[in-house]
Amino acid sequence: MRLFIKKIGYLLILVIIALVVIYHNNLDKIIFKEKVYILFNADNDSNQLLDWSKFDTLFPKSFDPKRVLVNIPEYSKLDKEQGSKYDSIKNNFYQYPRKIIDINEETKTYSIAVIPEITIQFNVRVTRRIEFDELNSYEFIELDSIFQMMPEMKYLLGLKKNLASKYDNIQFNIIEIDEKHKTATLCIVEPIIIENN
Amino acid sequence: MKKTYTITKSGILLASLLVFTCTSDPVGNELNLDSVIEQESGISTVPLEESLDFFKASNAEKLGQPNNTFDLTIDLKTLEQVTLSNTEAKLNIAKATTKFENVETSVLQINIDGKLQTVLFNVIPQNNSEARTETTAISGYNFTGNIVITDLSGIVMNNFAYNSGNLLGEINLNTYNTNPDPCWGIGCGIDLEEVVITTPSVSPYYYAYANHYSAYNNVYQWNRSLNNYSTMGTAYANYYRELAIEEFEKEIENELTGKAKCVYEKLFGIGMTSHNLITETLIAFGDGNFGDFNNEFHLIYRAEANLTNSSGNMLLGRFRRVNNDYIVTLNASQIDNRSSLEIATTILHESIHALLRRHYTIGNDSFLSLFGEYMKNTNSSNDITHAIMREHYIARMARVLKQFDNNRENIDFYEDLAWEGLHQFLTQEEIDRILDTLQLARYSDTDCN
Repeated sequence: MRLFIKKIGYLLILVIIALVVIYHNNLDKIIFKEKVYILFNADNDSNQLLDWSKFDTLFPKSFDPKRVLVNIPEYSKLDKEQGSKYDSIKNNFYQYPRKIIDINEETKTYSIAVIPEITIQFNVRVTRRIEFDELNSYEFIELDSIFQMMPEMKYLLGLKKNLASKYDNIQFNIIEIDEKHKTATLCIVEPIIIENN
Repeated sequence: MKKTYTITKSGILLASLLVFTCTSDPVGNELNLDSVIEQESGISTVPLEESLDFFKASNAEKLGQPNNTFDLTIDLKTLEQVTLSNTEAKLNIAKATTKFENVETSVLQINIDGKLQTVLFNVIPQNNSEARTETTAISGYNFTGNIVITDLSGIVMNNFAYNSGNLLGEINLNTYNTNPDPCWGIGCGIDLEEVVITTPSVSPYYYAYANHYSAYNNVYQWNRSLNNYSTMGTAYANYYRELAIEEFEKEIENELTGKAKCVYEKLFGIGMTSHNLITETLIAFGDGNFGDFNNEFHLIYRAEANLTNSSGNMLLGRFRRVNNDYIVTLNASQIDNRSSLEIATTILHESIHALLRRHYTIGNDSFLSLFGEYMKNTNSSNDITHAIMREHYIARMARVLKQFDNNRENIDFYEDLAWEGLHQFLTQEEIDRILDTLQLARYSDTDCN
């Protein structure tokens, strides 16, 4: 009995030391991170760029629609009516916010286009396959909730409410599904906020 | 090695700050300013003839520029040389007038390490008749108000507050004022005009408290001598400030090449010689700034070809933060076909993104407070940083661009340029004017010579 109590005592001491080490090295934040899951769909979210050549006849020949965002002279090539058409075509095609899967020279990138000027890019750290049938066990979060979890988004978008304090303790995961082939991939990612222009 | 380097740098910065901002316990501080001054042998007298020529040229230049709003006129007859303690070198002083009737201005000149240092020493008494008299102001006894050090164009470099002859301390001009309109402080690129007209009600928050009876010679000097002022300290502060800024510049990783590199170097060179937006960027990204000595963070400039946004729209540049790396990326495909002035505008624009993110990330209290106020008073629902730039940075960008372009055009020209990328809400009339400006700028300097 005495030996048993002694063993329990040693065990308790070890547990306390381990907890202290974890606390002092901020390991708790690494070990006990809250996991959030963002769903990307290989079919719906693959990056589609507007084919402006279909609308060539609507605009002056010298007009390059891809230069409009930052180039003042470019937009000025359009008269008022053409400008409205340009805006309408663009706004109908590109919805914000939207998820984007971009495949470029064998590199796959995941991002969220928040507004034309802001993109959240996810740097992939770890990738692994998961069972497609197990998707129901994951709780996916909506885009708005993602923005609320990032303090810098509050700053950039002027969000009134956020959960900034939780940011350090969140592990972001992307699950990409391919419904045709019934496959799913889980990526542990790090979000990077990009300010365009 | 890295730590030693950081400590050395911090020491330089501290020395420059402590020149004026004494602690309340000077004995406990390890820095001995007197010995620092004695060890520096780089101070030398500027011959009176040389100063006279310089001041004459300054007066003549003003006459040639009727739009000079500062209206500095140096009284050549008052030029004199005064002795300084701890050095054989003498300081040249002349009285001057500006358009501000209630400001006593002197021009001070001395060589430091062979480099001519010229500053204006502006005495701004508080609005009471006793403090306003010249005698009290010059002697320092019972003087209440501000001593503002500016460069010759009136841009504020230091601002010291006095109460009844006691030096309260230096106003922390790098701190954002909580009231964003007008954005006040050297961080906002203020000039003397703003100080004189809108001197803020200064709270103790902005002071590094100092004891008037400090052993620090240069602080004491103000009260001791009629002529010495605190000019020795001013000269040193200026000198150390430049040293610190040069050190900060080394912290920035410049991966740009060719024309972009040339523009970058020219642009950042401006930040070394006068206080402006570039200087603020250098300070914000210099190690140990904002009292955060242990944090390693880096500002990186690089270029990548074919930068686009999520909709395939061409970009001139973009900014992102990856952990402690603040990365400005220029569109390499948009370098050759743009003038140096346009590239400089893009570098400035992206640098402001980095600067704002830095202020936010580090949780600078006064910046967050400013930001909170901004949020409260604006209905903007997105793209806040560009909104802040539109309201607070156009004029400041323009000032840097004007310097970059050797003052070839008036300030309106450079303000037009600063709108690039921020122009979305301008009227057609304004857009048309900017188009004309861009047309001129496109061919101003295509090679960065």
